[in-house]
Amino acid sequence: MKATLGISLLPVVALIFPAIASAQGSERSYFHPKLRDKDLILSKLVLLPPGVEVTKEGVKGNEGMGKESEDAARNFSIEVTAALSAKGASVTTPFTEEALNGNDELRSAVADVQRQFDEVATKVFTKKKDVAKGRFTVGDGVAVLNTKGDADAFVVVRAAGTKETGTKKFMKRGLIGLAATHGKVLYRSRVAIIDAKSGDILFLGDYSSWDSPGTKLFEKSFKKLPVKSS
Amino acid sequence: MRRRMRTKMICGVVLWASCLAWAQQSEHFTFTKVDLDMLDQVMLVDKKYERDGLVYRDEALTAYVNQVGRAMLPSASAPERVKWDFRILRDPMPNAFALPNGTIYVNSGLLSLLENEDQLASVLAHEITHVTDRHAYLHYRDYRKKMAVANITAYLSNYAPGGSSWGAAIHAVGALVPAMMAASINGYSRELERDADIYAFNKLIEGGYDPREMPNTFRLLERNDEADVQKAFYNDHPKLEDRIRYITALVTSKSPAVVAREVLDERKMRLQTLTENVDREDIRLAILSHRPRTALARATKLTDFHPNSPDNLFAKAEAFQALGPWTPLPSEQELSSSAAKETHGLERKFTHDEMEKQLLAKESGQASLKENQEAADELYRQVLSIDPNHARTYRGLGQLLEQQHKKKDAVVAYQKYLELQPNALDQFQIRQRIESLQRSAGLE
Repeated sequence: MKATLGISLLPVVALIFPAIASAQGSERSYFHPKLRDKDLILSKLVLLPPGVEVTKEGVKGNEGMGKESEDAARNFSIEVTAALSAKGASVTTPFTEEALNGNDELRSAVADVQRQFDEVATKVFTKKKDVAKGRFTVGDGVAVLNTKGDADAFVVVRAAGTKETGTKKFMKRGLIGLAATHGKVLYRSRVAIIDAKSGDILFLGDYSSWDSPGTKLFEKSFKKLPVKSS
Repeated sequence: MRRRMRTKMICGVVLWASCLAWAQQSEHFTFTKVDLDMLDQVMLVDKKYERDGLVYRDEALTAYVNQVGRAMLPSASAPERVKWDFRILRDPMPNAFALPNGTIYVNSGLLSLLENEDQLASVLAHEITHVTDRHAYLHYRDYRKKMAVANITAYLSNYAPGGSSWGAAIHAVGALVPAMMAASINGYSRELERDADIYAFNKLIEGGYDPREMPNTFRLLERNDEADVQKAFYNDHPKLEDRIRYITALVTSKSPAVVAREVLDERKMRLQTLTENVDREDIRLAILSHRPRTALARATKLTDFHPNSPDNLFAKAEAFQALGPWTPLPSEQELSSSAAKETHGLERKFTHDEMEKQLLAKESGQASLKENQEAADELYRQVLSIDPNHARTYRGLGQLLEQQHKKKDAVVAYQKYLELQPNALDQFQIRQRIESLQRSAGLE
């Protein structure tokens, strides 16, 4: 009887464990040799407008969630800024909607740099470990955004969130998975730090979490980042 | 026995959903909650394009595209929840698409490819049909039904022993991107695209345009400027050869009036004059996207149209410089399907800089680099002979000289650029380059 109970509980434990574990969120960080060897110490960072896409995944397919995406982008911006500031870095967000309004040249320049990053990102995200080999660069064209000339690096945030409907969750994760992740968005997020002069990708943080990674998870990934207060 | 029952049940569900979807398509269009939800998301797409700096701002050109587009609209008033607007996107991919709310986007990459107004009218008329006939909504409804069936069958197949291969195919469908945008941008079913082409054909005749320019537009889209041919958009659905065939057949059967040469030339001149700026922007974007061959092809079109324009010559010089070790045109061998696939694979694996290094390691790459640099140098000097104060040419020349390891000359060129354009957005980048060159050349 005992043995039977043990065997029958096994799938339940197997279902609960990953749900609890993933609820904490996980992170991996990759450092360019310049940061690892502390040849470059960061001080002034410029956060570019985050790119966050949240979609609703239901049995009838995926649907975009534009409003939620915008809100999530704002949250990511706040959390990343807070985590970097906690390390002592000075973080600015000069490319706000208000600042770009009426300045088409700057708006296009921001769009072009983001696009250049996204092009390299397809390789970076598939070979993340190569960040540590200093393999990736966006090019020194990024310096057009260093309008005051005093920034050390740009911070780029990309995240994709999936909010599964109840039925979809039940189909994918069963009843326990449904209960454990009710109302939550599953995020896969990345934060990259780019050298403001050379365009080299200096740091890549890769996060998986239910709901946004949160300041603490970001702080954990920035732990070894060489930063000095300005 | 039970397995057969399950299979029958799954087939039954698929058949039922397909019939339902078909029946709904044939009905008169009335908005459902799902359609309205989609419309809300579509409105955000318009805003997102603007916010992300993708909408190209040029009042005269936008007014012109709107004027041509509005001439192609049906005579009836705009359908419910449609507000017509024609916009230009800063995107070098030759494409155009319509959102169901009536916003029609033409990429800079398509505008820079077109030769005359008649071709632009044909593209816009085609896109208008997708809006008036509610293709996006119908496609989305159909997609949701198929996805529901796909999910149910996937769910059942999880529990259907021996049904793994069936389930695998369905799971692959489950990985699709949100359907409406994918269809709007990449194309609908062959039938719907064909309907849109036929509407465009008739509308062109009605508007006094020459429908013979429609197959010419498709032929332009067939051009292979790059070695990796990616045709997952406007120009491959249905196949361009098919579109050329059925529109040419329509021209033969309907024999529409031939538009006078002078009228066509006048429209050609109008389009080319108004698109000169966006063409130059498109060349810059093509260079940024590592598509220097496309950039050169577009720049050559510009210099053919307006050979003494310093800005056009500068754009061509930049394209030559961006070519680096690549040849201006892809070779026959590069265009073969196996080589194109290989190039596409390499581009996914290696960064542009890494591919450039690999080419430079070859003698042929070095020879191409030298030729392209010479061509760029000649064009830069030609610009300066016409306009000695053309600031960006000094920047381009500086880059070229830097690549050729002529550090002192590069510094002089960069300094001249900053002198002529002290408030340039890239002033810090250029100062940085000057400092770096001076340091390495011991000029400090």
